[in-house]
Amino acid sequence: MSMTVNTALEIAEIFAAYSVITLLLPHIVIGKSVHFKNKYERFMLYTMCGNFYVMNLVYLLELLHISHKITLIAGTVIPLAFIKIKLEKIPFGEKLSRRWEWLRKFTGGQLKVKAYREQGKEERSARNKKLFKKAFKLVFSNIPEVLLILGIVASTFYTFGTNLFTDYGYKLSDIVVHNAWINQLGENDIFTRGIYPYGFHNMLYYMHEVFGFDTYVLLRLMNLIMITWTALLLLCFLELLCKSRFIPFLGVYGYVLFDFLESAGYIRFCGPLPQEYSVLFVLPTVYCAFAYFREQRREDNGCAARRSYKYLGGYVISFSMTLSTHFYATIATGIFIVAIAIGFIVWFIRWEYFKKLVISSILAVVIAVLPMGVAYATGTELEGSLKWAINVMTGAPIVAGDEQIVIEADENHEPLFEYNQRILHDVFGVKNSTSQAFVATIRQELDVTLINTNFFWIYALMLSFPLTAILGVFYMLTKTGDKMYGAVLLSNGLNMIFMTMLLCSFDFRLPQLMDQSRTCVFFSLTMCGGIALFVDAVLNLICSRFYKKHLLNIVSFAIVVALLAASLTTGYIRKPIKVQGFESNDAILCLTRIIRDCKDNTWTICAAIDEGRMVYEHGYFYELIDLLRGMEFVGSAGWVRIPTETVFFFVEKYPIDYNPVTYPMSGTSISKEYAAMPLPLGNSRSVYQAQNRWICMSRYYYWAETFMSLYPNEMTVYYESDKFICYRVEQNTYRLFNFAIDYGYNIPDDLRIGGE
Amino acid sequence: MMLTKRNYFIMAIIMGITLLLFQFSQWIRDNGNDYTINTYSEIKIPANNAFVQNIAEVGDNVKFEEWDYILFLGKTNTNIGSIVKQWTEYSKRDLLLCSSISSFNIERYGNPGFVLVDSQFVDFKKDIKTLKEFTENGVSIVFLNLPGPDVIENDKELAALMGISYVKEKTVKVEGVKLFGGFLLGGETIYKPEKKKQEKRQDLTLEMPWYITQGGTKTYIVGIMDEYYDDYEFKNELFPAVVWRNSIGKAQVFCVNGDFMSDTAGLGILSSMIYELSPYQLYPVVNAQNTLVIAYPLMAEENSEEFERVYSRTPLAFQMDVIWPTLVKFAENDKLKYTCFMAPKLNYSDQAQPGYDKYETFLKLFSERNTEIGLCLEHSRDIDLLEKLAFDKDYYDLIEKRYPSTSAFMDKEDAGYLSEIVNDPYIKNVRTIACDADIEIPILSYITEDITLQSLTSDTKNFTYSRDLMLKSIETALGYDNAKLDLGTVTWPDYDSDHWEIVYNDMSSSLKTYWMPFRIFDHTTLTESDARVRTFLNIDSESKREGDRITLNVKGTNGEKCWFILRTHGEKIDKISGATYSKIEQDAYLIEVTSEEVTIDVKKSNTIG
Repeated sequence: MSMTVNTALEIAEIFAAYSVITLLLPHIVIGKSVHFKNKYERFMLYTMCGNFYVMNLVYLLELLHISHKITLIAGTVIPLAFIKIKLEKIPFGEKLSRRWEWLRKFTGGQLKVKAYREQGKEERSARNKKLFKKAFKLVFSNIPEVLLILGIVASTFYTFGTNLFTDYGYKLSDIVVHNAWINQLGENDIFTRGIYPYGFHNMLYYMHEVFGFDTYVLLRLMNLIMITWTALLLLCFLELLCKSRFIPFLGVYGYVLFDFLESAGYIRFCGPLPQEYSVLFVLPTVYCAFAYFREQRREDNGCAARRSYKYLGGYVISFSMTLSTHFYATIATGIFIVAIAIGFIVWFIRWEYFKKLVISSILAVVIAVLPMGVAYATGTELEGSLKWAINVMTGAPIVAGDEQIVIEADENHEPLFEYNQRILHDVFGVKNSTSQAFVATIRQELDVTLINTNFFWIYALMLSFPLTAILGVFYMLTKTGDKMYGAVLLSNGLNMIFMTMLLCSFDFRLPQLMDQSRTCVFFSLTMCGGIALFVDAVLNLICSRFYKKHLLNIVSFAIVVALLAASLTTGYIRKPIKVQGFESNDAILCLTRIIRDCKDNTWTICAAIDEGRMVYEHGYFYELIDLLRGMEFVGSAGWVRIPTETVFFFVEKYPIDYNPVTYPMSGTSISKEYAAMPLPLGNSRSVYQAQNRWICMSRYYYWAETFMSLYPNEMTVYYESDKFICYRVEQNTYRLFNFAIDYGYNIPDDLRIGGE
Repeated sequence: MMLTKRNYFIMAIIMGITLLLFQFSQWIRDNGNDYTINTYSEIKIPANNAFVQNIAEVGDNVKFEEWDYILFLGKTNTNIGSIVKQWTEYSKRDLLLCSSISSFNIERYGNPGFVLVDSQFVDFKKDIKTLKEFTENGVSIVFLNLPGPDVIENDKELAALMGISYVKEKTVKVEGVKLFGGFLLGGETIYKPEKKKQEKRQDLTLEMPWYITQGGTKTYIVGIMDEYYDDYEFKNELFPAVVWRNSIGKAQVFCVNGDFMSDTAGLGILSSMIYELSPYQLYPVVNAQNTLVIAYPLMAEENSEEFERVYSRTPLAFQMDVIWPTLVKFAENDKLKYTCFMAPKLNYSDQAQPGYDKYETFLKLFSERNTEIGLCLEHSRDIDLLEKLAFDKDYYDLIEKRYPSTSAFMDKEDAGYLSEIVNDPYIKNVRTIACDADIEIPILSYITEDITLQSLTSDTKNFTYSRDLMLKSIETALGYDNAKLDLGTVTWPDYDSDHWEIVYNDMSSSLKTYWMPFRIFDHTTLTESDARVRTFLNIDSESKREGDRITLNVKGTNGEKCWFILRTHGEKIDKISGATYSKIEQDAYLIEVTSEEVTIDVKKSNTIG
């Protein structure tokens, strides 16, 4: 099976498994109990519930050190069955006794399987027919939406999926670390490198254990599912807030297909990372907050249906998941909630609303922090990035990651705002340049980091943020206007203003809560939503004059179709992202084949570094620098043993650029000149970056060739391409080969026996 | 109740039919078979066109093809030399003998295919340079034995040549020896007794110098030491190496630490070393597994009183009623073919005379089980062979008229009488003789122009570890086994272990364990294997490989079938023409050649695309 077919099948399987967790299971358990009619609301709710349950189930089992495939399945099936029975008030005892009676008759020979089948045949047939009719009706009454949703999925597959078929390796440097952490979950060792939000890890670990996906496969492909779900949740969010039926698609297509975003806004979706996974939970939290205000107000106005608590519940689990997955999402969500608090200030200041929202927020934080708190109480240290978060809050020097790199404002780097002020004053002679510099700074930041279009549209966009807020105020103040809709618009407008400030925080010497590159991820999502809401508000304002809902839908559909047609015909669509993998395609191909073809735990891969995490539960890993160092200066007197029957050696003839360092000689092959250079020092990734990688791979290649000449029958070429070669060594596990040899570059001539 | 006539008639008819059916089948058997014909005598004898090996000493005026001959630093009158000579003959290789390396002139003879070194004949201080030159030229070296540890310890160049990192101890006693799989046919074997009763099997030399091998080496046989380095991760890698290989450039240096090359175990070890040197190995083998039952049947009722006491039967009745059914059971389970060597008498001081009447019965029994009957020329030590033959002349004359034997078994001490007895009338039909193994007697050879000698290679009784190593070795080198089951000792037991129940147990356990890996080879009688041996000795072959295709050209078969073993390194046979094949074990195939040219396409396993 080719790697392309294999990848396609794996994507389909992961898609299906994720759908089971986030859609099917919640539907089975709570489908009949939650009385939401709206399909978008259901999708959002199911996604939240599925994620929330899995994340916290894994947390619980991990903290109890009993996490295993069996406990995970039991922990899913038994409580969920219990919940379903309770929610639907299923007469479980009666059903059980009926089953028991059937079993008794069946084993006693009084009942045949055929007869039993006949018994419920009509009932089942009627049920199936009903289900089919319902599905048919759902599809055919919403054909435009169905087609447009398929278009969204196709767009995400096109823009983000293509890269998965061209580059098989991990696209981001952090993924390998997360791979290690997920592997450790398999050992019931959560927070292995310190306390960190493990929501994302828990979900992937669950999929790995329960559905049997290899973690490295999930980490190669899961980003496609993440971006697709993010787009669908954005659609749900907009569909639930917008007045028009089709304008939400404008926002979603803007997010995934139209070529108006700079890559900073979406490029991190080239690989699955916690922060990008946390994006999923931002909009549901916001929507639940909106919906809470709406429902609470209805209840205040005498509506009997008590639904506000359900939305508060949704708010709690969504908000807790932002914190359970990544702090940046919590920051982005927090900013939006501040905007909502202002937008809904009229209601928010009421004690009833205030009290519930604050308690819910605290509860969400408690739920998210509880597992981490338990670990902290039992002596686990904080992971580097968590220390960073605390430092941000306490104002201590900011440190990031485990490498403890201090990120401080560069004193020599002049903020853009001050630079603009200086230029306007010194060059153009503008005396009061503050407002002009302010606008110029925002425009420049948006232009450089986010928006891929001309100045006019950037200014239009900038203008849309306050205009949305103004429109919101307008809706709130007019007698006939929808006040809730107005508050939503106001909140969105304010959020976009706040996000813009966050994006330009360094330029304005504001507290920098997030890196600009990371802010872009949340900014682009909320911006696309915000634009759609703005357009919707304007359209609604115009069309409401004609008092015709249909007109709004027709116009919105026409706009979306026209824009789609225009962008497709003019080529104004985003090119598929292209990010080179950290591992060569050949290495992933070999790894996949080795895992498939070789018996588990009978083989070792000796390679640069990343494969070490990928082989987990299947084989073992030996780092090539350890191999080379084991024979440095000593040759065959060294001691390098790899204790498995089969050992694979991955050699790059054309070393890859191991990010973030780019080598000027990138694209060139290994050589004797590199092999003759001293072996790199150090123990981290730096050994495999830039020239060091060329040296290591050159040495490694000549070692392999020499070893193969010494063991021509034991060492064979397992796979070879122009750029890569994989050797295979079969050895006797009772008497292992000593891989330490003299390969011509590891011993100075004067140290050789018989040498000068 | 009265029996009616009708019923009486019916019953009588049924009884008559039953009687007829039983008797009829017996009558058919008796009349449809001629038990007195030795069907094996009809096997065509391949002409004696034995492959002539070029063998010369340094200084002789001979010309060898460079890279195609073997240089032996040693003498053929030693045990090692005898093994080297036999092996080169069976593997159809030219041999250049050299008792002193200084007399060898590389410019005259060119580079040898490889060099076999008997360390006794090498002055390492002086000769190390020449040996290193060999390896530099890509010539592989086999050290058939090693110089003392002091020599190696004090000569770093020699140690480096042999792949020895350092001498850990000058002598150490290991608890057993482990033979790794993939070297000799028969798979991995541990020669270390686990139970008390297995201790009698341990007869390998367990004291040896302790060498620690370095990187670039591969070990094939290793000493086992349980008590060392229990807490050390790689303790096995420190165990004393017994047979190993060191790679130096394109050359390989094999070392044998011990006396394994001084007996027939050396044949297979040399074959396996060549296999390890090459990308593949295709070499001729006999493909014959004989089971020789010595002194069975014994036609005289010797030692009958003791027999009556121990077995409650007369010797002949015991042989017929107890031993034969047991042998048949083994034959059926393990597809054995017996060659039974009939002995008129064993102990000529015993007064019992050989009887003739039971001989006919044995002929019937043997004929039904495809068993060949040969002459047993074994005798007690109180007379010599000529006296025995004179004593048994009348009996032999009588029975040879009934069943002319084509095979015989004799003691190796009687080999000197062969030229005198071959013209005896009852010997003249004999075309092959089996005798006990001796290092000086080749396993397979022509004893006269017309008679072949097939030495015994194993014994079902008292099967020791060194015997097993030899069995594996000979099976590897020749695909041949000539196993002995001596029932003479059952008649005249010297020890308790000579009693039938012990002999039976030994045979049963040996067949079920030690012979099991070689079931793929054909089971033959001695005369059948004689034909195969003659063909094996006749043939000359050449194989070459281009890509994944191996071509084999075979000469001297005279239209007879012959067999080869193909050993690969991780490759499987994809297609074959001019032959058929069966798998012996992983990477080893038995090729039955039916044409003079054979092509074999192999394919690599365990690779991508």
